[in-house]
Amino acid sequence: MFVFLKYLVRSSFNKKGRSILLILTITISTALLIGCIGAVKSAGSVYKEEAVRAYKDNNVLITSKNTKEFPFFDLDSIQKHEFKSYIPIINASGYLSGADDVNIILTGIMEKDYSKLPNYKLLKGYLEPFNENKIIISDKVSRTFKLNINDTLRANVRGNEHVFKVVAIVETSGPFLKDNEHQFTIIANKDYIQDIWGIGDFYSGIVVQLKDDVDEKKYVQYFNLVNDECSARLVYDTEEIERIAEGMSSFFFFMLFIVIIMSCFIIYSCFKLIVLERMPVVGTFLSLGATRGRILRLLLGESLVYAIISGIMAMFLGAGVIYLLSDMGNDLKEYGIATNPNYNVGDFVGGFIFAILIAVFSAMAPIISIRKKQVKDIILNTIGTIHKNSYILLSIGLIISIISLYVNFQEGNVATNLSPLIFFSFVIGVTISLPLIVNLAITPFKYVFQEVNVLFRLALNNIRTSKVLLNNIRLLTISIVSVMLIASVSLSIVSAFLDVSQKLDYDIIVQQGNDSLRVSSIINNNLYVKEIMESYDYEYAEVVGSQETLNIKAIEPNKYINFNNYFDYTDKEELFLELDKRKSNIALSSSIARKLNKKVGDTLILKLNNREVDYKIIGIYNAKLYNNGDINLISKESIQRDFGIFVPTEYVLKGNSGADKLLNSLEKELKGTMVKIRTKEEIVQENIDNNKAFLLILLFFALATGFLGAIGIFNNIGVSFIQRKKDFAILSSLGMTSFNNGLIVLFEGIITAVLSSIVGGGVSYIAVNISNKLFKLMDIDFPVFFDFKAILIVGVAICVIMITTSLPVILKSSKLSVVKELRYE
Amino acid sequence: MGYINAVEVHNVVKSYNVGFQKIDVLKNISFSVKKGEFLSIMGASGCGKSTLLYLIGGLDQATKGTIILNGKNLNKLKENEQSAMRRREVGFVFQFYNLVPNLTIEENILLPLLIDGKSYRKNKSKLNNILKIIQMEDKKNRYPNELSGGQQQRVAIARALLFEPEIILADEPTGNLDSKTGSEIMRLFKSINKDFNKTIIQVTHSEEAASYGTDILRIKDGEIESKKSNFKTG
Ligand SMILES: Nc1ncnc2c1ncn2[C@@H]1O[C@H](COP(=O)(O)OP(=O)(O)O)[C@@H](O)[C@H]1O
Ligand SMILES: [Mg+2]
Repeated sequence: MFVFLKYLVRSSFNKKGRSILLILTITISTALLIGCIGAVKSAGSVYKEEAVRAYKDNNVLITSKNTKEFPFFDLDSIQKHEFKSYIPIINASGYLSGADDVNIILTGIMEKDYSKLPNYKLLKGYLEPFNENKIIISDKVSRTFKLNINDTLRANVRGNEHVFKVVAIVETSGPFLKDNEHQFTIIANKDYIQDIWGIGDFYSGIVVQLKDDVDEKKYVQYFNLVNDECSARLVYDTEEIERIAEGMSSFFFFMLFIVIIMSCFIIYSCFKLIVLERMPVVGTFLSLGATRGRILRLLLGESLVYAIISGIMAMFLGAGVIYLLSDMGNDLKEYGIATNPNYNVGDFVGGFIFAILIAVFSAMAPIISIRKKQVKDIILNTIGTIHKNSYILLSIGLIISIISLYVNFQEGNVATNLSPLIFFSFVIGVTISLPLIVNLAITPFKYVFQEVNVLFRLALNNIRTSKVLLNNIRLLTISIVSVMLIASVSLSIVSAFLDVSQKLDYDIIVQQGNDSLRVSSIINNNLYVKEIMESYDYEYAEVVGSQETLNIKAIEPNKYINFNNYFDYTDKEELFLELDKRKSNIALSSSIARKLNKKVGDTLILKLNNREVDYKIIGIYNAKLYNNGDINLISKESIQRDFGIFVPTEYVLKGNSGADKLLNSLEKELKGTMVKIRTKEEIVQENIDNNKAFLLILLFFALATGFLGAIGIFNNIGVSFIQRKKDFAILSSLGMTSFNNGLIVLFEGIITAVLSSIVGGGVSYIAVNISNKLFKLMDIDFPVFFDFKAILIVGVAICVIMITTSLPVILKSSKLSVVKELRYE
Repeated sequence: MGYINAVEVHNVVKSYNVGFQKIDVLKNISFSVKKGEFLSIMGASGCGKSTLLYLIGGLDQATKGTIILNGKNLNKLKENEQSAMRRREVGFVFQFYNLVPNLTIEENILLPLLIDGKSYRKNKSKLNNILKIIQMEDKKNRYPNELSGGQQQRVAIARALLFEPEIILADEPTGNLDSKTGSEIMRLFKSINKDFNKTIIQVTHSEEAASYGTDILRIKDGEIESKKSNFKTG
């Protein structure tokens, strides 16, 4: 047996190309798995880090509700016996005098509290006594604006200029964490800020560290239940972060699954070849009395060796992928928060085990197949590499894919609910039955080209009969499906955002700042404003008796009807007419209606701002990608009457002389109010940018599958040539020139490219169709349409790949020694 | 056709470099084969018989010397002229048949014609003729691995004959067959030689197979030992 082991080791080293392919395949898929799991776990770590830097040991924030026109509270109204320590704060805002675009957040605290500021570290200056116009600034601001101790800083607050004196420079963390050249925080005595802001002894927030024995989650829940004036939230909410990460990761794992299927397929076909090649030697060893079991175990051992090497490499690569993915997801880099990937030992061990499982399982089938062969056949090596169609298997594949298709095009929820299953059964079914499909497609051409060109005809025949060449079409089909899926989703996302912008009628959106009365009066008096539509957004409205929360948007129906042409309505006029009635009416988006299992005419109890009111559903529309389909309309009047919310979250504006004039004028007038003013173009761009990381990661998957596909094909073309060297030599002996032999290989490449583009194009078209339902299942009514331009590019790319990967073989074929191939067996 | 010799071999040397050593497999060989001759090349295993045959067929190149086939000097032909000659003027039969496994019997037989760019349809009658000669009309749509060795060899012979080449080269055509099938194949060769007046050169180990030919060339250690007419049956 030792001799056989030696033989195995030597032969796997001899076929370097294939060993590298196997190792790369297992490594890449394992590394992506480790990377995805790690990145999803890391998603929260950046926010956790931010929370630590900004708030240190404090775990709860209490803020005055910004739904009131006077968003301040009396400190005595807050129960404090569960607090271990706390800092009451008053926030005001203004802008740097002389600079047009520098906002300043003025935070007031009690004199005794400054040393309690989270991560407080004095670098320069002296604070005692901390009173009057003395301020603390961050090191970053000191450097950016060249402010030193005893320098003065002039700020315009509510139209009046105030002079502050820098007395302390501290490390850029805690409340100063997000200081930058356009906006920064200064901290002064609260009496002074209250005075400037023109309010009495009121506060806008408290930074709280709860006592150690208080459950923070329960505290927040209870606080929000009993307080009308203020709301509490956790500084770092694990569940919230996980929920955000989850939405994205489900798509990643879906893509990962495709990569894994592809890898299994590559490993499977490699081992099929390995087994075929070893057959004569296996035969020899069997005839010398070796048991089959030993040989099977040794071959499985070979796959294990690949798995172990790859598993180790994948751990390193996986660490890199985790870093890369987390870094892409880190949108707090500019605040000096480093990407802090989650390297969990368990995930790496899991990845390693996965590598072993995927390698051993994929190699199992071909290795086990030895078991079924007659010893005589193995010894005499009468098992060919020619494709013998096992029609049963092929037909089963075809039947599976047809059934999948049939179910997919059924009306109703079945197709949606089964869409993941349909997706994979369809793709796998087609992959299995591909030889049959190719045969059906090729046979007519074989006769057409009978008279035209023998090279072409031979090439067609080779593709039809060679396992390896058929596997190329399989590999290409799977690659095309994954690349096209990604291309289509990316294109659909980008065009959905463009679509949203085109179908929403406005010039500028002003997002509320922290001086609502002033903002309202400025907007209402601005000369360039033609139309104002107020919008009141409430993000986590509860539905009594359900776990779901809704995003409520209260609007002015008579205006909104002209503004929003993006939703798909059944009867738009009717819907807004009903919303405009002085009743508690609500219109739901279809994905929410589905989640709540409600239809038009049903009622639900809405809970906002601690008040519960019965609402009647008067309409349902498809909100498509708008806020991921979670947007539910009530009227402005309703939200004020039923829930006491009086401060708009945004103003949607149209200008009377263009967006630019309006923008310029509002930017000037609203300076220092902390509003966010954005034009339509900026919003579209921002949406696309926000999804850039997501699109980039998708691209990453597309590249991984493309890369795996390409190396798989490169290997297969080489192998198919080695297998057929003798056939080519026979052709030469019959008078084929070596140039023509090369042409056959080239034709094979081109036919493969064309066939796979057609089959892959068709399969991916259906896959994209199914993915619509997949998204629906994920509660996103998001129309994914097929990217026809991409399939052309993919088709051309595949031709190029096929031709370039064929070139080395064509060169080899011209150097083929006929005598050598034919003389000896 | 102003020449009487189908094959002329002049001072042919073939050597291989093995490691740092040069091995002369064929050492200055000269002989000629007349048109219509049925020559058997004999000699011990490894003496260079196959090497000589492949050189004659233009599948390999001599280190020194010239080979003239149907009046053409092989050294002076370009690659595609050599290929054309292999298609039209020489038919090859190998010990291990060398059929293309993924083509049917019919397609295998027609292959040289197809490679030459000839029409498939127009050669149907020719194909049927030859299938009759080798008695395989009922198996034309089978694949090689569905046939016995003897049947495969007959297909290979049919393939070599289809173009009606002047010269047929056979490397131990019966070496892999049982003696009964071997005799059948040899009788087939003999009738091809006699009835169609084709020149045949075969390499063989067996005196019995050689007895079907008109002449015998004996090689020993890369040199010609003798070339004699085979009076017994000639
Ligand atoms: N490519 C090669 N390199 C080195 N030696 C070779 C090569 N091909 C054949 N030979 C040697 O040439 C000699 C003659 O081989 P061959 O013509 O096949 O003999 P046979 O008479 O049995 O047909 C043998 O000793 C063989 O080892
Ligand atoms: Mg020989």
